Amino acid sequence: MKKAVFSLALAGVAAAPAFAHAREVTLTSTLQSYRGNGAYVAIYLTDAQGKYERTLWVAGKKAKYYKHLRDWARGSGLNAAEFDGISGASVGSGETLKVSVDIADALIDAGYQIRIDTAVEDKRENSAEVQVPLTREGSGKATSGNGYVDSFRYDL
Amino acid sequence: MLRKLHSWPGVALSVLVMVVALSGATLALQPTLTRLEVGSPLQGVSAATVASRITQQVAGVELIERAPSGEVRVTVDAKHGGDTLRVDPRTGAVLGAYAPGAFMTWMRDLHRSFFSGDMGRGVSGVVALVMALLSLSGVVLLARKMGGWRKLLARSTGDRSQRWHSAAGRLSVPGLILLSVTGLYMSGVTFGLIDDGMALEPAYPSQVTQGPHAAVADLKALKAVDIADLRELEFPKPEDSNGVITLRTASGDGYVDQASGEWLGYQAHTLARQVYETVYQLHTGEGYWWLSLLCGLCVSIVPLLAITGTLIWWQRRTLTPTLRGNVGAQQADTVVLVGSQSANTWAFASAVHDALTNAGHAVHTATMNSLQPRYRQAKRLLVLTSTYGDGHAPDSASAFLARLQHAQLGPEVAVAVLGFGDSRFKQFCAYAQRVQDALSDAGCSTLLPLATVDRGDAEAFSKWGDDLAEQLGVALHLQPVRVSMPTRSLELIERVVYGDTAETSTAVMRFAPVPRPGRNLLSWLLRKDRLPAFEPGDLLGVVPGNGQEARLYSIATSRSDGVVEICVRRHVQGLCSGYLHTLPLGGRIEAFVQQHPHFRPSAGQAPVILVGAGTGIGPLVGFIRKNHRARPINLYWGGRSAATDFLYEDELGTYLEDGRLNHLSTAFSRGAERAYVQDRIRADALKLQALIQSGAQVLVCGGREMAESVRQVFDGLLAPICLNVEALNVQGRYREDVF
Repeated sequence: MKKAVFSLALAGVAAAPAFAHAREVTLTSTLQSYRGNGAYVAIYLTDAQGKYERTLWVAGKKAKYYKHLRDWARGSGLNAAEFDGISGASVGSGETLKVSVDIADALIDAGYQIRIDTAVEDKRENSAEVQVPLTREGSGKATSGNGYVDSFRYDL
Repeated sequence: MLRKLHSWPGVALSVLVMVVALSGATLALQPTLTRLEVGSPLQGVSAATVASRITQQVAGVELIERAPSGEVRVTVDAKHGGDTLRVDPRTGAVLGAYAPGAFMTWMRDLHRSFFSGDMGRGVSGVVALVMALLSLSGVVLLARKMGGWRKLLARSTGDRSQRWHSAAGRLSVPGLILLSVTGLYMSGVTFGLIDDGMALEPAYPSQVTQGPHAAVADLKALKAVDIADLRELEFPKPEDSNGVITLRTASGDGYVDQASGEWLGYQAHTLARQVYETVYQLHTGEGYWWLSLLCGLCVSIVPLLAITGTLIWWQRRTLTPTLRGNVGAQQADTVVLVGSQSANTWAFASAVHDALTNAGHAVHTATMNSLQPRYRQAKRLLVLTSTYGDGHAPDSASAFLARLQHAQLGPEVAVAVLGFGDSRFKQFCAYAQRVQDALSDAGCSTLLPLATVDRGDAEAFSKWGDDLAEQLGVALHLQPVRVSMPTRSLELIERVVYGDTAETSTAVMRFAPVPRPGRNLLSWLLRKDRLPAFEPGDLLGVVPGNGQEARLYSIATSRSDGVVEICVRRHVQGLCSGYLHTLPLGGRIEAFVQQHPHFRPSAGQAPVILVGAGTGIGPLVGFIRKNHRARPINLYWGGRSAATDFLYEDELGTYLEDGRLNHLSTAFSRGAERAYVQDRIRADALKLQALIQSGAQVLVCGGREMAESVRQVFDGLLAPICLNVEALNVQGRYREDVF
């Protein structure tokens, strides 16, 4: 038991520098009501020009459908390392997806954007349907997407 | 074993199987509907040409997709509404919004997942597996039943459910195998058990050529792709100067440089992906509307298969007794094989099984059709079989002789055959004799010589048991067997009596089912208070009293008439005929129906020659009543007296007028012109020769002596045309129902 605590503590020490200037951000996305199966949703960070930076969350379990999240798929190159451990189940009509991710302080108020791609089987696919700057001021403010996302907000 | 493997999953999952089949049959209409809307798919034109037409007519094109049906869809960017539209690839003009029908989407979700996500998909996968097993085992069982693979398409035997089940199965099995195997594959892909090659994506290009973008029509890579091979063409956002075009084709995917029009990275589809796409198209019929129609037809038959299959299972369950301690075929030292048409022979087999098991033997009891190629431990083989019709195999033995040819039974297997039958029939235990001969030919040694049991004779059975016990050197305690059929109550509603004296009168009697109190859906489904299925020529077994043996009468009606009609002649000491003749109107009898499908007119329009005497006219009148297609029927009938015994006289007159009866010839043994029916046949020899040469079938019903005389007359008149009754019998064109 002692050993386990010790090694956990060690891991904490080792990981600490990476999180030294990071904070937990809560992402809340609520989908509209639509007829159809669960939506695949990719939430990711880009720079001001829309160039892919990193993945924040992917909803949808089958990687073979990820290419329908078109902008994100291109940016991430569908490289499994990009979304390893930060994916979950697809989001059904009217449901809310709430996840917490760590984002480095350096990326906040630095011109970066949070973007969302969505896709539903046999229905419209939306690239960057949500596109909001990642700023302290924008924290807690809801925006709506032009696809399935009824409202999206992030809380720093 | 195989039969259990076929029936248990089939019965247990029949509802799920029907849901998947019917939703699939509905979905199978989609490719044809799309085809009607889209027309024949465009091909022979480059994707660049089509894409150029579309971009000229539609603003803000983001994505062009081509479905296997040939339908081309365009998605425009968010600035232009973000909609998906159907376009005409020939002109580029918009045809309308693309919206998959809600009904078909609902059906598809029902079909593949029962609206229950991955769990439902798992259930669908199991249904596909079960369907595949049912199809394959069904084909093997059918081949077995028919007596070999070459006879797979021959006319099937059995009762109505069995005939429908075989017919429906043969019609639908190619489609069912295709759909279930492809469905199973797709399920394997869904659960990641099979690689579909979809994960392999081309590497996103790191560098693009700088310079002005080429026109869509001039993109070299796109020009080389036929529109029929195009899957997807995705344009980058206009503001993305370094963007590339994504191009997916039938053979591979890649990116295209907007300036040079050349491929920038291309990933050919792997074999796994090509297999997946082929399987997917075979299953959904996307792009193959005719295939999907055929397959849809096949699966729409599935409910018929499920219902008839369940009925067969139920009938067999109620017919076959549960055997205590039935050991496997390869573990048994004693094998008991049963050939039966009804429950009777099984009752005897069950007694033999129990007695041998109690005496310490390892006994395997099964139908004769389940004869195994070899029995590793078996020292003796006991065959208990009835005979069906004119020396035919009973249902559960139909494939026995064919299977015996491929079996390896040697002298180490000692055989005893016990035949069951009714000695009043000419071919008494003829099939048992054939089995005995075939087993001797196969090299088996003899445990006991062929023995017979006449009409359930308890003494003969127990004597056979004693002989068997002596051979085995053990004491066998055969339980006495009471032969009984499940009977139902019938009520006498009409009786017309012919004849001049009470002692020799003949009655035409009509019975109706007795309605049961508390009638409900279950009893209706189990046919408890309806008549069972029967046709003219089938037999009604009447039980004259408690513990009495049933007496069989030929039936003159079918179930659709709503009544059972029989002709009963009163015999001087006849127990059952006396009972029926004195039964009051409204009186009830206990009776069962025994099918007799060998004795009825064959299908088609060939002429029929009916010969009968006395009450033998019953089934013959029944055949004439049903002759609505007016095939030529000639009736020869002999009675006692024209004045008092002419059964059905008025009715036959009507049939002569309306064409159901072509020719009527009667002979009466009393009165001025004393004659017998065989005299009339002899007189018409030339006419009958001609009829038989044109394919006519002869059906004879009556007493044994009369049938014998008729056979001789026919042999005489057939000789000049180099035929005889035996030859016709083999072809199924000479049938007797003798009592």
